[in-house]
Amino acid sequence: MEEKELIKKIQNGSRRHYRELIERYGERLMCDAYKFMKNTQDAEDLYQDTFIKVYENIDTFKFKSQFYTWVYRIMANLAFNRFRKRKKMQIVDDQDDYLWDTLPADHNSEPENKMPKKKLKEKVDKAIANLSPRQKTVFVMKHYEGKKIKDIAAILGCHSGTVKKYLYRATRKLRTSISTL
Amino acid sequence: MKHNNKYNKMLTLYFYDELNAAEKEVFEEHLKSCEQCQLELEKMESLKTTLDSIPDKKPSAALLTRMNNKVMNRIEAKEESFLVRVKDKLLDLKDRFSLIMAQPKYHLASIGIALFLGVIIGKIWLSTNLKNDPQAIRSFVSNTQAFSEEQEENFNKAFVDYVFKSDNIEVGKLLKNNKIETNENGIVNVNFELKRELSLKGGLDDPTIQKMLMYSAVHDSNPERREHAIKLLSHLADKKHSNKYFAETFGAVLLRDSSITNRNLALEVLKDFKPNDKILEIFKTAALNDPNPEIRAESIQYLGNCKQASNNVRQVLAAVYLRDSTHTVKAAAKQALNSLKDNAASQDQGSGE
Repeated sequence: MEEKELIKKIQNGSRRHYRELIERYGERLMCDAYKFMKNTQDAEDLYQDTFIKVYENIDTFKFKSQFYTWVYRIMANLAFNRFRKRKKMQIVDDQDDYLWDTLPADHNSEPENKMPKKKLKEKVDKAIANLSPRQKTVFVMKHYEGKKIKDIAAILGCHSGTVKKYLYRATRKLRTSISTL
Repeated sequence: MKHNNKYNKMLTLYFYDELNAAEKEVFEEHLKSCEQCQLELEKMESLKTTLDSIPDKKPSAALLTRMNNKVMNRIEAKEESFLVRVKDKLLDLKDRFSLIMAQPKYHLASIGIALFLGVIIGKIWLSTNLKNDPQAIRSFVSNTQAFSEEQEENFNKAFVDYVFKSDNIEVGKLLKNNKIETNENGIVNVNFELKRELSLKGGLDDPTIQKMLMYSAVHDSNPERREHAIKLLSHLADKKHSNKYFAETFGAVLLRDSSITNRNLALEVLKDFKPNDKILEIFKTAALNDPNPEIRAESIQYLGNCKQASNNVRQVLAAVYLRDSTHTVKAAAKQALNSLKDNAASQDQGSGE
């Protein structure tokens, strides 16, 4: 079934079709959620909250943007709210979570120090956890998702100048923290 | 070119390729001569290398299925909890109201409210023209004026259709009583009493009319009305072969009706039916049991002429020949047996040649 037809069916109250829709975007959204939260437990919670909010608000989707862009915007805002409520990001050891597959790292990106990957991840997570909620949200979208600054501004509902400011502050903080590793 | 804070910000944007062509040119020009920017850019590269060296994660299919189940369950629970909340609120309100009204001091208030409502209804009554118009009152009370003649006919038809289609109503008992009986399983049987006669208009090809006539031919208490229904049904000569209930109806009349006229009518109609197991069974029963010798003899004659007659038919004819006390019937049975014998012999000859 075409995406538009599927969404219209859900807007007309078909809960059964919503299952089909989340199955289509599930993997992509979960990967994006992990990039935000940096641990599997929080990523799973964010995933659920996002799809529940999408269902509750699906009537407001007017087909003016790509559906996934709209879903992603909801997730980014939920992630930002989570960062804001929880001042310190949880550092969780989820290396052995058997329900997640670890993707091969970029082999061109071997850091100079040969710190074990597990230890390095902890340090990086800690450095990202020290960013402010806005800085963290902007940095994830820019660095991990490769989104353009104007798109990030649209998602967060602010000016491009504000996004640039947060990005600059985030990278400056991270350069300092990570250079000490 | 001297380093300042502006270049710090530009450096981040340059790193992420967010500068426009003019800005990029300016920054690259500055970068050539600014050691601090070169150092910061190296740090940015190092940051990227470190971040990208950490392996990413991807959810397994099992996890996604589990998560999607959770999402759907949460959505379902949310929707249900809303309905449950509304229902609980209504029950709370009902309980609260009942508790208040159960207090003795409110008994008087209840009587007052009832009186007040009575006065209001009386006022409305007096303000309308109902009090002066007996026809309007009848209409108001029984609402019979709501149906036009055509609507009433349609309603009657639909009602009869419903009665005949419904598996839960024993049609034969419709007119007998209106008791409510409960069996050991707690199932209630409600038998309707039709308080007035239904009058239907329609052609004989109307299925509802046919059903009514078939019912009447078998169940009507008046033999003349049964006869009338049988005659009407027998006029459907060209259609009767297509309706499987016709044979059953005429069979029921032939085997059950107390009136010889009606049984004769049914016998005449049944003779025209193509013989099959059911028809043969009807004629065998009539040949053995009908109280009238002429009907028995005619049934025997039919069986004797039947080419599909089996051994079973011969046994019945033999039994009639041995047991029947009426001479004409005995003679008919003998003749039928002979006729079957001749038929069988000619068939054998035919196959031998």
